[in-house]
Amino acid sequence: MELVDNLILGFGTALSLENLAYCLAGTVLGTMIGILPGLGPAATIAILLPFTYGLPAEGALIMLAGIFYGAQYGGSTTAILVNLPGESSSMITCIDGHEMARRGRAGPALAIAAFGSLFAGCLGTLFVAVLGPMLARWALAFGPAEYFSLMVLGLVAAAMLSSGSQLRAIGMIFVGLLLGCVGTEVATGTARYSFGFYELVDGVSFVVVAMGIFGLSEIVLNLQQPGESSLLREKIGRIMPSRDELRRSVGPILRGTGIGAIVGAIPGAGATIASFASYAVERKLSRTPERFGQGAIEGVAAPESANNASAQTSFIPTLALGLPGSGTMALMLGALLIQGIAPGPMVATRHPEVFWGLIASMWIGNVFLVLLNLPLVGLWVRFLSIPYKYLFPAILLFCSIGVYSIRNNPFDVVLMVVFGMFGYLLRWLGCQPAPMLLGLILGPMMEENIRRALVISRGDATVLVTQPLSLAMLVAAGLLLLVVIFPTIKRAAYAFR
Amino acid sequence: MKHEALLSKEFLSGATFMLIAALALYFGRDLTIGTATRMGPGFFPLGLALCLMAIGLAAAVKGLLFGGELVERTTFRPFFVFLAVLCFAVLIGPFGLVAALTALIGIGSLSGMAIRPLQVLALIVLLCVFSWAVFVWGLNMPLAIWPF
Repeated sequence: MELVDNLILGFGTALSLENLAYCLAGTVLGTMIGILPGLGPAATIAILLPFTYGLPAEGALIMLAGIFYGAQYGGSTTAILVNLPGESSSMITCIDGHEMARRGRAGPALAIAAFGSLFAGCLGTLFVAVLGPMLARWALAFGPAEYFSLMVLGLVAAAMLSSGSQLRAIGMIFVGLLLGCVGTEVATGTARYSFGFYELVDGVSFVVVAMGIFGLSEIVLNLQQPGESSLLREKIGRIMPSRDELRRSVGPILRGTGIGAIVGAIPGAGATIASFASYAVERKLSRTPERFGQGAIEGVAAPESANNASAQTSFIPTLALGLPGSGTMALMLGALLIQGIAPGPMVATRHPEVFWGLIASMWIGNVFLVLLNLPLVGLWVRFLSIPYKYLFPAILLFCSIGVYSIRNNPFDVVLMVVFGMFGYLLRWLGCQPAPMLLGLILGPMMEENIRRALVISRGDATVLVTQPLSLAMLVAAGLLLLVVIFPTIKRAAYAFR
Repeated sequence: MKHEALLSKEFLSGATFMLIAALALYFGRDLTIGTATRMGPGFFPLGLALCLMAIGLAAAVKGLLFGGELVERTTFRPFFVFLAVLCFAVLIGPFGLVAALTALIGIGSLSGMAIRPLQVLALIVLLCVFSWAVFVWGLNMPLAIWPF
């Protein structure tokens, strides 16, 4: 059994004392920032990226991944106890979760959320272990034309499924792709858009952009919100759910896991959509839909399972194809690049200890998270009493020292400020920054692949549509575009009539 | 066309996209475009900039015709955050960690909700000790601590 051999290798890597420590550090940090509203996994991973230069590849990825899925656990705690989404993927949990807390059932709500997440996380990771290598093996046959079209499809999907205006999301992708052009062009060695700064000859560092956009501009946005200190009002009480609550949760956990696992693997969809979809499904299937909103345990079990399952399966396209589906996954891909690992279908075969070590660590991490969350929940909620005015100077410090430490060059810090302002401007205009990050990271790869495809076909651009696989992916991208844009066009035509 | 359509998010982001595309075209004017078989360094950026220009135009027109969500008024105090980090960048090289962090946190605290001067001082001391322990002592980063 190849899978078993690989998993043994993975557990061998993940169970080393050092990697266990990284996993624990990641999950603890993830829980913490998941509980704190206003500090998300994307910002945290961005801020920690520069500190991973010195770490071994397995350790760095295990820790960063732990932050990401740990935040899904932590987010539910805030949602249930204070009716604030600690993460956007826990938004829907607020409705029934907090209602349960108001009725003195906070403990069972937390327990079901944790058990559901554990089950979903373990099953989601199994999907990654089984489907990831299959997808990678299939993708090994891809030529440059297929790769180019795959990235087009991934970017279109990410833009179409993002929240807010899709037109602006597509614009943001192109802004990101253009940013990716900065620096030395590979084929001729010409420096593009370096404006005479030797620091820009290597290109715009992905880490600096991510820190500016997710770190600095987010601080500014948070500071503009009127200050409110979230107070813990509800008592947690007994943790163990009643037999009736357990029985009611089984179905929603199973269905939530299934929905989350599928949705998570689609680029652009992600945990928030998965949790909303599973909540809607449960409500539709329920014989007593009027209980939803009144503290129904199903309304906690389903979305919390879904968001954790999708957190795991979103690693499938990222690891197997090198195609990140969200801003956070783009950061994970950036972490791979920092370690000198070229993303793509070769990762599983060339760096098996990283690939399988990461997968094994997800199982270990999910167990850590239940142990961390349930008995210690009283400790974690204390973090909610830290006011943001004491928190943001610490975040500022991590951003500044982190970016400076990459190559001890103040230029990078200034560049981070530039991108912080740029990111703020774009968010003020209602543009989501994640598509830009995807464009920035995929841009150089797209250029390389289209160049190779055109060299092979001797300059014949129809190569993109004569290869059946490439054509299929482009058609899918086109259909996706049409489905989303068509209503807008129809509305426009209607307005002119 | 309504006057307030000019303040819609859609129109302003369209205009921003067009500006970025125009800058990319202007600063990339000397790059060789080449042919499809031998793509020059200017080939890919040119294509991207033209696409971005078209998308920006579409967004701007859509914003003008339909208006839509308007941009919100912003408060400017939080922008001290950017100034604080710039001061950090200037100070960290020649003057070392303590001076840079004092500026970072001191100026940064102007951006937030009310923090009392004594609390700012406490934060500075606390975070200086923390950074020394974690970054200099723990992670062995080559950071000067004092200006001398």
